Amino acid sequence: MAASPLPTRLTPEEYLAIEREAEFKSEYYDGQMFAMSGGSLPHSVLPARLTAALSRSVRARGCEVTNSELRVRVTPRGPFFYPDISIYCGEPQLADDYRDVLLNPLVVIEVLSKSTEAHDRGFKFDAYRKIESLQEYVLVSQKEPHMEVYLRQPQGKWLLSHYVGMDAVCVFSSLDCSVRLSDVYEGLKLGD
Amino acid sequence: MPTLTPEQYLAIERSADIKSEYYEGQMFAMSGGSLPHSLIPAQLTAALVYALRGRGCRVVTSDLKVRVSAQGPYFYPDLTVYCGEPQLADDHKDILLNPRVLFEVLSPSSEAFDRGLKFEAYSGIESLQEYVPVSQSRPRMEVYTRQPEGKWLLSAYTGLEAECRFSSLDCSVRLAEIYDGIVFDD
Repeated sequence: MAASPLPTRLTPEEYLAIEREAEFKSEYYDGQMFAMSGGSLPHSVLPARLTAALSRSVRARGCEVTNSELRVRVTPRGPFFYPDISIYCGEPQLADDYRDVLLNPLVVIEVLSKSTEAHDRGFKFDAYRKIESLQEYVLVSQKEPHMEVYLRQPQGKWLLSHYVGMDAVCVFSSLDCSVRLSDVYEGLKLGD
Repeated sequence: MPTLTPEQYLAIERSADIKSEYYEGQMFAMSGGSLPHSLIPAQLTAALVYALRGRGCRVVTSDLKVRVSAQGPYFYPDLTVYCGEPQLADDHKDILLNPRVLFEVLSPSSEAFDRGLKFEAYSGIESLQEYVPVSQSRPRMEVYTRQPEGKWLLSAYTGLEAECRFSSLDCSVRLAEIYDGIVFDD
């Protein structure tokens, strides 16, 4: 989903005050708000399919799958993002009584699109890595059946595994569960 | 644009005045780079040549093509390190088959490609042990090191005090040297 900056420099408090009243979602980083555009059909279907495929085993482990309505915060100064999917385990840690800023995602999933790929692979991943609770960062292609999982390792390193093709089974080690790519991509007309 | 065979690409490329990469049956002309995009590889080359002295590895600049398979893609990495004898595709001696480490300096127009499709293609080169995307907007190098079963281990090095380690070369470079003289926006 493409993002475009709004011109003024804001504090995180100002961002949250505006954002909580706003009619559309914006992310926040570098002192700016970036409005989020709508997504294509695959970009909307893929998170829904993934949620369906993950939900049962995730919930059996005391974890919860949330959609892109929930903000995730990296530090109190920001950035604030709306991941396509966030998964947290145990009690959600929320920034305040508004209960709309999650602090402890275990897994964050982003569906790649042309306009956001550099951001999702670069800046955003870099920011997400600073969230201590985060164990896995997952990028989902909408061009072909392809999921990439980055798994946190000791000493700030991350292990990248590719899962390619309808027969592949994507493993989420931190959740001790897996998803068949055919369940996620079957019947979808791919391409962005 | 009509689809070209790898042979057609190489025939055109070898007599062309500009460099083009080749993938998915097409040629993609390479634009010139900014000062940081030129300075960073130059300083990396200097640091690596020094660090690799006597180890049987060589550093080459972005004039040498690297090939994933005979069918392509063909790329010009910003910097290539090979060890031992260079394996070349043919007598033109302009296509390297056995890079050990590849570097790409990221720019806004190439970042998605360098991190996505290009990295995926490079992964298909068996000799490749490390892939290094290098930022030009701040002092930051990321090293992806090949692991068993097609996995890659990412280590990120950030800040001028950091020292970037290449385990496949058993050497490291200081980011202060690589980014010396570069002015960052923020």
